[in-house]
Amino acid sequence: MVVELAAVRLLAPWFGASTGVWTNVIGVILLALAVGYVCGARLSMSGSPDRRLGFALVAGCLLTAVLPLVAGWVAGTFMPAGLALDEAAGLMLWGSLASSLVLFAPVAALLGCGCPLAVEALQVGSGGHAGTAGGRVLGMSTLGSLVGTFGTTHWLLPSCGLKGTFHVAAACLGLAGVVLLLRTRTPRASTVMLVLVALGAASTLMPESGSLAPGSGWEVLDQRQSEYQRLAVLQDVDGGQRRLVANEALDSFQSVWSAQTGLLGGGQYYDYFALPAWWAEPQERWDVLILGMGAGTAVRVLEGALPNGVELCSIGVEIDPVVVELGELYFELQTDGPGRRVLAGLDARAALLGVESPQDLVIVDCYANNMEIPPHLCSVEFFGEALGVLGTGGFLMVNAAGFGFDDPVVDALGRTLAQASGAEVLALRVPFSRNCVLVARVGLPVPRPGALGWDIGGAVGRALLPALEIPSAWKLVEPPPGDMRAPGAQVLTDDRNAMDRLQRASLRAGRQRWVVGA
Amino acid sequence: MMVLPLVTSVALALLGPAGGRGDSQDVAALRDQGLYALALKQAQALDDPTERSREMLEVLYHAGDLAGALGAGLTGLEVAPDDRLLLWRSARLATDLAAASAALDLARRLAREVELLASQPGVEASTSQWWLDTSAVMLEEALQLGELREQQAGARGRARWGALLGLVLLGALATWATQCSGPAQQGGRARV
Repeated sequence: MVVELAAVRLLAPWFGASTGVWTNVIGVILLALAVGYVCGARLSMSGSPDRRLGFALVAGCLLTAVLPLVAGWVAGTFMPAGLALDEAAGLMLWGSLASSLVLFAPVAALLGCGCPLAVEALQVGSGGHAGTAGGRVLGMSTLGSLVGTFGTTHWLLPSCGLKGTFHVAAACLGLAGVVLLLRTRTPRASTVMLVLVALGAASTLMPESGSLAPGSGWEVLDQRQSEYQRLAVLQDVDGGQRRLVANEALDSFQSVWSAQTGLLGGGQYYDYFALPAWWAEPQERWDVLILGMGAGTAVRVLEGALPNGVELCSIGVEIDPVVVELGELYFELQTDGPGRRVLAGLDARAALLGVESPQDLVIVDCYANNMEIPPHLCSVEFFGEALGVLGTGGFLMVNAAGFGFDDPVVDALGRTLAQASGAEVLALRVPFSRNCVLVARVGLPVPRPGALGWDIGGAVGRALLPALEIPSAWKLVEPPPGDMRAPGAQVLTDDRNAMDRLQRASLRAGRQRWVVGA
Repeated sequence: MMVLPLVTSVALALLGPAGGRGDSQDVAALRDQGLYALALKQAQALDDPTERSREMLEVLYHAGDLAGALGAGLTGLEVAPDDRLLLWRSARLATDLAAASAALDLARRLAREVELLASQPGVEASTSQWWLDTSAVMLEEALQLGELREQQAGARGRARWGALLGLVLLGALATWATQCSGPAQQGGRARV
C-alpha cells in the first residue's frame, strides 16, 4: 500500500493525479499482484519457500529503492516536455498506464509472490491446515496494508517526502528479506545484507528524478509535497512574477503573484473578479468569499482594484493547507487581521455552511489536479448554496476553464449556474486566454454590454470592459427549459454529474474546435 | 505575443500605401482608443475584402480574441492567398495558438512570398531583408511546433505499445505459472 499510494505522487509531475491516473496505477498494481500470486504459487511447490520469500523481498526492496531514481526517465519517455495542458491530456492516460507497467508492475508482482510463499512457509514450518496458514497471512497482510495506507498519507509522505517514503518501504522489505535469508542459513545472506545497506546509502545520495524542472526564464523558489499534490513556487528571472504550480503543471498554474496589487493584465482571469464591485458601487465595504483561494491571487487583485474608499473584507477557503503556507511565504497572503480570514484545510462546500451572510461576491475557482472540477462543486445544488450566502444584488463568479462558449464544460457550467440562479448568466471570454468567467446575480439582472449598469469609470473599466464588448467576447446563458433532472437536460446535479466526461471531451477536442486549422 | 502590435506598424509602413487607407485609419484610430466593438463594426463594413480581413484581424487580436483573429486572417487568405501581411499575422497567431499544421502551412507560404518579393527588382533592400528575417523566424517557430507535435505522436505510440507489451508480459508470466502447476508437481509434497 505504501508503494501504491506513493506511486501516483511519483507520476504526478508528468501525468497529474487525476482519477484516470489513479485508476491506471491501482489497476496495474492489482493485475501485477494477481500475476505475482500465481507465480508465488508456482514457486512455492519446490525448494525452500521461506528462502524464496526472502529473495523476493530483497528483490522487491531493490526495485522499490530505485523507483524515485528512474521514474523521471521512464515517465519522460511517454510525456515530452513543452506541451500545453490540453495537448498533454491525450498522453496522460496511456502514458501513466505504460509508466505504471514499467515502474510498479515488477515490484507488485514480486510482492504478490510473497503471499503464497509466506503461506507455504508458515504451513511447512508450523504444520496445520492450509486454510489456517492462509488466513493468518491474509490477516497480517491486510493489517499491514491498513498501517501502510494511513502511515503513508499522514506520516511518511509529509515527514519523509516522496523519495524517503520509497526508501522506508524498501528498507522494510530489505530488512524482512535479510532476516528470512539469515534464518534459513542461506549462503552469502550477510553479503546480501551488506550490499543492500551500501546500495541504500548510495541511493539516498542520488538526486530524485521527479523534481520539477521550470521552463526557461523561471527558477524554483520552493517545492513541497502536500497531502493533495506536489507544489512548487516558481519565480521569473526578473523577480517580477511568481507562480504556484501543482503536479504536472504544464502551462497552467494555481496562483500568480505580482509585486503590485490590483489588475495583473495579460489575460489573467483573476482581473475580472474586480468588475462586480464597480457595477454594484458599494459605499463602505465589499464582502467577498473565495472558494478555491489558492495562494490568494484574487485577494491581491481586489486589494488594488476596488473603487476608492471601499474596504475589502475577504474570506478565503482553500482545501490544501500547504498552499496557504506557501501563499503566506511567497504571495503576501494575509491569513488573519482586519478584513482577512482564511479557512485552510476545508472543502469549499463544507465551508459554505459556516460562512456568515450576506456576502457581496462569491468567487468559485475550485480545481483539483489543474484541470478537474470536483462534481460536488459544480452542481445546481452547490451553486444554489453559494447563491444563498449572497445578499440582493450580490454576484457569483465562476472560473470556467474551457475553449470558448461552445466548450462542453463551459456550456454545462453556464446552464447549471443559470438553473441555480433562475436567471440569465453572463458568460465572458477572458481576452488573451482560453478561460471563461461566468457571472450570476441575485435578484437583479446581470450587467451586459450595451445595457444600463455595464459601463463603469476608472482605470478598471478602461482596462477590462472594451475587450469584453465585441460580440465574440460575451454571451447570455438562459436557464434551460423543462425538468432539470430529465436525461439530456445538461444541468449538473449532485445526483447526475457528468463533469468527468465533459472535461475529457473538452480536452480531447477543445483546441480543434476553438482554433481553425488546429 | 504581446510585441505583435508594436511591429505591425513597422510592417504596414513597409507595405507602403494601400487602397482605402482612410477607412482603415478610422478603424485603427477606434482600435487605438480601445473602442473595439465600434472598430470591429467599422472594419466589417470595409469594401475591400483583404483590407477588411486585415483590420478585423487587428481589432480581434487587440481585443484578445486570438482564435477569432486567426479565423479572420484565414478568411482573408481565401481571397488574397499571397497577401504577406495576412500570411505573417495568421502564421504568428497559429503558432501562438499551437495550431501546428496551420502554422507550418502559413509559414511556408509566407517564405515563398517573401522569396518572390526579394527577387523582384526595385524592392528596397531593407524591406526585403525585414521580410526575410520575419519569415525565417516564423518558419523556425512553426517547425519547432511541428517537431513538438511529432514528439507528442511518438510518445503516444510509445505509451500504447509499452502498455500493450507490459500487459502481454504479465499475461505470459501468469500463463507460465499456471501451466506449470499441474497435479503431478503438487503430488510431490504431501500436506498434513
